[in-house]
Amino acid sequence: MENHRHSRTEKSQASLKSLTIREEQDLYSLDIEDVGSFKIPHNKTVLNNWSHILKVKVDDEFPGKKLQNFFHNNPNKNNIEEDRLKKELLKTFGQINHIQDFPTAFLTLQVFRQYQTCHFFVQERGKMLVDHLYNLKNTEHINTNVEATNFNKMFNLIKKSKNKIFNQNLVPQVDLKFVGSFLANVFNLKNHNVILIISRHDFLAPTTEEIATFDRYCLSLDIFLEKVIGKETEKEKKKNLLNCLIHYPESLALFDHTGNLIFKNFELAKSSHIKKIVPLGQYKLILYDTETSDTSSELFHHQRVSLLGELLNTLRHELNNPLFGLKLTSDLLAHETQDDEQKSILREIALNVTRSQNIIENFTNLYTNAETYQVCTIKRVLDEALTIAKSEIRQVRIGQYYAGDLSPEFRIYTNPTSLVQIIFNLIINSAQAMRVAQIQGAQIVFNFKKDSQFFIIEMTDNGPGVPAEIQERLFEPFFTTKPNGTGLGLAITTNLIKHLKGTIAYQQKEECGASFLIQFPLLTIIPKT
Amino acid sequence: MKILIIEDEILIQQSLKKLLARRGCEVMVASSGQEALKIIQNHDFDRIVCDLMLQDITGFDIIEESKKRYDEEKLKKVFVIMTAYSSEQVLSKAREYGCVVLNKPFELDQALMVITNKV
Repeated sequence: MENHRHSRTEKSQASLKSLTIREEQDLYSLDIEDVGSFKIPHNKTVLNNWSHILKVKVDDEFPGKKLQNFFHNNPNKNNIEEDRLKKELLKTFGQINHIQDFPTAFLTLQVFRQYQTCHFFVQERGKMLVDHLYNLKNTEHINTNVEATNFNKMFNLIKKSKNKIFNQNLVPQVDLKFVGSFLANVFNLKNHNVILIISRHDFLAPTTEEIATFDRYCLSLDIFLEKVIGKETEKEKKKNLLNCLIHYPESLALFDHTGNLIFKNFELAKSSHIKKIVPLGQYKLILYDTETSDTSSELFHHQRVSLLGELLNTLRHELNNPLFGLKLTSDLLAHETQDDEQKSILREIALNVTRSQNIIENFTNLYTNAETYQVCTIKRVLDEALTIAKSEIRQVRIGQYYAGDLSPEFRIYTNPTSLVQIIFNLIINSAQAMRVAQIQGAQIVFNFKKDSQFFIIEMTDNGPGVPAEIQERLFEPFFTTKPNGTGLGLAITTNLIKHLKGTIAYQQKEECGASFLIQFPLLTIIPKT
Repeated sequence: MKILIIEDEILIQQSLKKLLARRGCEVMVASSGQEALKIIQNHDFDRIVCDLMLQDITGFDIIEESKKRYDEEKLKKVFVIMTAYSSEQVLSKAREYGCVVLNKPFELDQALMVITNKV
């Protein structure tokens, strides 16, 4: 913890130019003054927060600067004694970065070695709860809260007290955790009120000398309190600012003066349009059009998929004609030749061309939202899928099982193109996995079932299955384990199933490889008549 | 029967040429719209088989240009439009001209029937 704090201080001293914000705490190092000049772009509820934070300007007289002149101000006759005291305070409190450490540090001061407990009450003015930091020498550290009303009562009594001698009657509502009389002082900081109480844990009233010493120390203590509390408040503000940046309802990014990206609250997509550029000191805040950019990966995915759709359409247009030419020519030549071997080669060419045409056709169909539902048999869908997948499943045995009153002739009401594509994708997926794993006797088994609500297709293979650690990511777009995979197969499949109002799930089965369970609502099924 | 094939995809063009030539037709070919227009200016054809989307102009442009040489009745008989994108728009325009549409991809027999039987 100590190291962590230390490094944070170092960061804030580091040149801002070289800062790249990668995580939340890095933003704390941003100079809050730069943020002060930011104008609020819109009149939104969320932005109230903005104005609150951004209007705050840090005082030029930041305590850190004052500290440098600590020894040179206020020359008086007791200079030597005064300097000794200041040195001691600097040694004790100079390295403290957290107000929580003040009580402990205070009790280490030589002159107060008799004292057993130390309390600090820190109130940010206007807040209802006051931080109460308490330390019983070497044993207890307690942070609690007290109510502002009790704090104020205590604050005023201490401030107005003539003899500076206090006891528990001061504020009975506050549990001060010690007995007897004690010394107390109040501090008026820029934005905070602070009460300091120390006690020897006995009933002897402090001597006049003790009171005087305490007062002398307190006189120089405020500068350290201001420094640490001020810094903490600043951190808090920056944290709030960061929260605002993160949760800002529009897409935005922060760049430094050299154009390096420091912070962004969204996935930067290629087609993001810049809506507004806000100069922010040496930084530049850029707001993006929310319509073209979004934090959700779904929209990002959608952009890429529609891009792919366009690409496929172009491909289809460009490939259809040459493929057709090949088909026509090979058909013609096959027709004319008398040589059987040539004939069969030419027929094979024609067949391959047809397959290419089908592949292109099927892929482009994916991106046309043809919502054409029709009645078709399970057989038709399965046959079609198997036909397109033919080249991939040469070595794979395909099994079909029909539960209950289901049969290949069972008629379902669906979008056949989509359903064929779904089954095709799953078959390809399995077949490729089994081929890579060099499975002997590879097989894919379809189980068709239905219950009162769902028409269920269960597809199981005897391949290597999906390792547990990647099962969760299986349906994510662009997630792939294949060296040349696009990671789109299962994502597209999921999308198609969603369009048919169905669901897909991966099931882990002990005895076999991968198993997918697809369910469609039975509402869309018309039973055989 | 004298036939002009206007098609920029050489394999399709040559296949059709070969197919029709075997059936005893006199076949000429053009690989672009401009080339076709020049040929049409100097020759009379019984059939003009024309791809719709050529690199330079469309098949419909060729039909328009051919109005100078063929009267409306003859035009309907002469032109066969080949296309891979038979949208409703294309089909209705083809109907306006009264010409037959041959959808790509087609089978050889089908092409032969459409081109030679359309008398």
